[in-house]
Amino acid sequence: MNFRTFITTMALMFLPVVASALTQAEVDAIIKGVDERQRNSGDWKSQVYIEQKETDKTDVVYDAVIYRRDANDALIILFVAPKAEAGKGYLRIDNNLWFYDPRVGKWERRTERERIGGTGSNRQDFDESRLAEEYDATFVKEDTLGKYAANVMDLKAKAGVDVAYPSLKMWTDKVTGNMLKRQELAASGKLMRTTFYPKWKKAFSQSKGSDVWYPEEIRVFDEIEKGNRTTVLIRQVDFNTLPTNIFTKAWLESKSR
Amino acid sequence: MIVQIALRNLWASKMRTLLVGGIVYFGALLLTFGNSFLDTIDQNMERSIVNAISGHFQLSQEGAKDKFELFSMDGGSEKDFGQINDFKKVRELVEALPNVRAVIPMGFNFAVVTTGNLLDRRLSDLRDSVKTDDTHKTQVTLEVVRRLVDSLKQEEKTAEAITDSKRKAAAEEDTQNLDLAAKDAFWNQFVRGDGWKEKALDALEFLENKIARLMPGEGLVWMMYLGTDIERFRSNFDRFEKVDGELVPPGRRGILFNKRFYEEQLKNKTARRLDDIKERIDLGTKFDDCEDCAQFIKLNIGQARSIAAQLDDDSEAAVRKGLAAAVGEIPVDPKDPKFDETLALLKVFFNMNGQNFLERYKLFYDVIAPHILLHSVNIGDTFVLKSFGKGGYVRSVPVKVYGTFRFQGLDKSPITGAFNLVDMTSFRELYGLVTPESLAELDEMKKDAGIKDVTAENAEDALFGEESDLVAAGEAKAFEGMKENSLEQARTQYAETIADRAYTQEEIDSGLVINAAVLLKDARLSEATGKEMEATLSSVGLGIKVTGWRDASGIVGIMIMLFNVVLVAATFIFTLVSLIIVNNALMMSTLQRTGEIGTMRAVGASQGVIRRMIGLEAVLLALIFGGAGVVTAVALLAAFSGGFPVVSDFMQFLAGGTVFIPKLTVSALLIGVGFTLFSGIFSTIYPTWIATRITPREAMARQD
Repeated sequence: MNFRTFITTMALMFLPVVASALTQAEVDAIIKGVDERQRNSGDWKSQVYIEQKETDKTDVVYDAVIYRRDANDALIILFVAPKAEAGKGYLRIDNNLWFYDPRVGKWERRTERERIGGTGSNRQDFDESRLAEEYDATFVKEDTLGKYAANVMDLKAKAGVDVAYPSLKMWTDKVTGNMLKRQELAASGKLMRTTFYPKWKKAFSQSKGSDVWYPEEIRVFDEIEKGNRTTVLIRQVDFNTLPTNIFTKAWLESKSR
Repeated sequence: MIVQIALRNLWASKMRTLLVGGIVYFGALLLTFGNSFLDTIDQNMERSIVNAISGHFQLSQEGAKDKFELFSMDGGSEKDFGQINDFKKVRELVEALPNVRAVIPMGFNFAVVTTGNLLDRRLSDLRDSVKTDDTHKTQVTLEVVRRLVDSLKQEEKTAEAITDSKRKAAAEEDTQNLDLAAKDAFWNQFVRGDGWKEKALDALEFLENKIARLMPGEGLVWMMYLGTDIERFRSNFDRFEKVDGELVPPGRRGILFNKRFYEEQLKNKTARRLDDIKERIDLGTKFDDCEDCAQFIKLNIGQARSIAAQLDDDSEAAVRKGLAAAVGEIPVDPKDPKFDETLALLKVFFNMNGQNFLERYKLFYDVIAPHILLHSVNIGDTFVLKSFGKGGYVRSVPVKVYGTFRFQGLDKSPITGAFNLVDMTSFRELYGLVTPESLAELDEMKKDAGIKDVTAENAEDALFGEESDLVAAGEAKAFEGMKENSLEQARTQYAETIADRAYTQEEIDSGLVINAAVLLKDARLSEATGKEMEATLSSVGLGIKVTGWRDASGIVGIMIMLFNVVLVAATFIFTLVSLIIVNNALMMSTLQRTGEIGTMRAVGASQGVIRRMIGLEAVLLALIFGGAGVVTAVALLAAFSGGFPVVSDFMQFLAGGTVFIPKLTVSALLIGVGFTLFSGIFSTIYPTWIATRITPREAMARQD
């Protein structure tokens, strides 16, 4: 093999990689796209179902209502069923995550790592997607997930941002730009959760003036407690404006008074 | 005649007699005293465990994943001991046995106690008082809250200089918020008038969300709890004793904190440090020689602001008046516009020394303690107990704190002092017991959701396979978020049917427990009763394992067993060494007396006479000195009948209390006497054999 043949062979070998690698601008655009497609300019209310399964154990299930006002980073998760859990809820406001139990009538501070209702889900699974704001992304490779071609990216949390997981690996659908899979890693690099987003829906938002995408189904697999899995279903959404004073302790308390 | 010769011989060789006799004496003394000492420890540990937690037997599920033990190296948090599903039947069967006094249901687990920081707790009080229109409480709490916020402002000034540049924006916002909260106008929102409550609640939200998070938290406290039928536990474990508050009323839900846990884990840190110093002084440590004490005093001075910030106007006046005489005049610094006289007074007060400590310790509890939050959770409070249930999920149950208890004489024991008592119903709820009604409700919800189960192994194929459909059209529309009344109904229903009612004995007994303690009427018959229990339970096929308290005690049982092994080994080695020394000494002495023995043989003494003479010498030596050793040991034990004060926490567990009283035990006495006799008899065998082989000719030949 002479030098020219060698160079040509090497070029042909690496050509597909070079050709398919995304530029940083494209990566940033994908991440912003993931956020933007899910963003609703106004308020957000959804009815969710959460189910946690563990081998040989009784399932934990909840019906809950999520209230969001993304302009203020405010969030409420209010459990409405089963009866024993009804009225309990989380309120996130100004970087505080509060938990309220109407049986005690007291509020407790919780951290960003709180497992919502003791399941494998956390606050960020229900909140506005702020990936571009919270993480720096880099391209890793192209991949396929079942019948879908995907771009794979590494995301590292920006300095000073309090997130549940400092590092993510994310697969996005090449065609729609929707997130398909997400691996969440601890600071040590240990894989903590793998989350799949197999169903996406879009609905028109008056306040945004365009469609808002939301994952109809989220599947969370615990990588530490193997076998533990949580499914979140977003069953209904409502983009109408919520009452002004809703994101207060007083409002949540009033729901079970 | 032979006795006289033997006694003469012993007297004639005083040094030899004293040397050999001394060994026998100390052997008998040590074995009798030492065994009594160790036997007493063993008995105390048995009483500590049996009469406080374990009972004589423990019942648990046969074939459970992990071997049942009450005390594990890892605390038992990860262990799966299975469960006894029908406790009622087990109780009926076992309590029908003639020697069984009681069967007590049990279940152990860990919980987390989180109380938020000091400001969170005071704001929670303020929220309650605003909501209930309690004017006086609002006023008093408001004064404390404002002081706490002011203290944050004071500390924030120093923090500002070291603020990380990346957090600059956040820090600036914090500063603006603190500035806002420092203004009178902000606090005027709590002044009663038209619409004051809404304004007050808004101001509260501001304080809770913007300010309170700036105060350092108090961290999590891990707590071990024992779910049980508290009423029956109390009446059957005779070491139980209520200390503060009241007992949980029969059938009610509630918690009794172990006094040790309550004081060490949930108490105000300043108070706890003062208690630590006081305990050391009570145990004989000199204040001036105590390095830890100096460190505690330094910390208390440094944290005086956290005490000052907890005082309202009235309590501040009361504290200043109460401490004035002890502290004297505090010079006011006219140059410092922020001079806080109360803080200065407290700093001087907490600067204690060996001369004034006891006086100021009393003053702290008389004057300051009534005005501060002395414990994270107060008796009478209802707080949320959070625990990992069987499924690994965090479950929470609100429980009322009725009081504290202790196990008599085991106040400081780290082993028994770790258990807090929770009612059986709350335990079952935390454990994750699902009632048939709840299960039906959950099944209905699952059916309605219709989720297809997917495991991690097949997730990608199942979710993104050929049949998957990634995108679908949705619709955003108003929906019935919740039936407004259903939450209230659910809460009322929970209160009426679960939380706020007394449970019958039938309800407490019906249902699962993890394990059960069996207490006997006569512990001496425990072996026979244990077999009877096993036969009874296996005959009905309930799959219940019966474990004696030693085996069930896990790490503590191993510790007790090790004590016994050490005891037996020490006894054996000491006895063996003593016998070899005594035997050797007697043999040497016999060889030295070859001439004498030969002469005796020459004048007609038979081998039997020589054997008896030498043997009698050894037996007399052993009886006289060994007997004296046993008598001395008994006298020493009588002299120590007042006991030794026990210093360390662990030693208190071994001693079964704060004073250790070693008692003469029959086994120790038998070992002492046995050693005496055995050393007498055994030590004669070889020397007498040598002596009887000496002939007059041989004796003369040696003299030549």
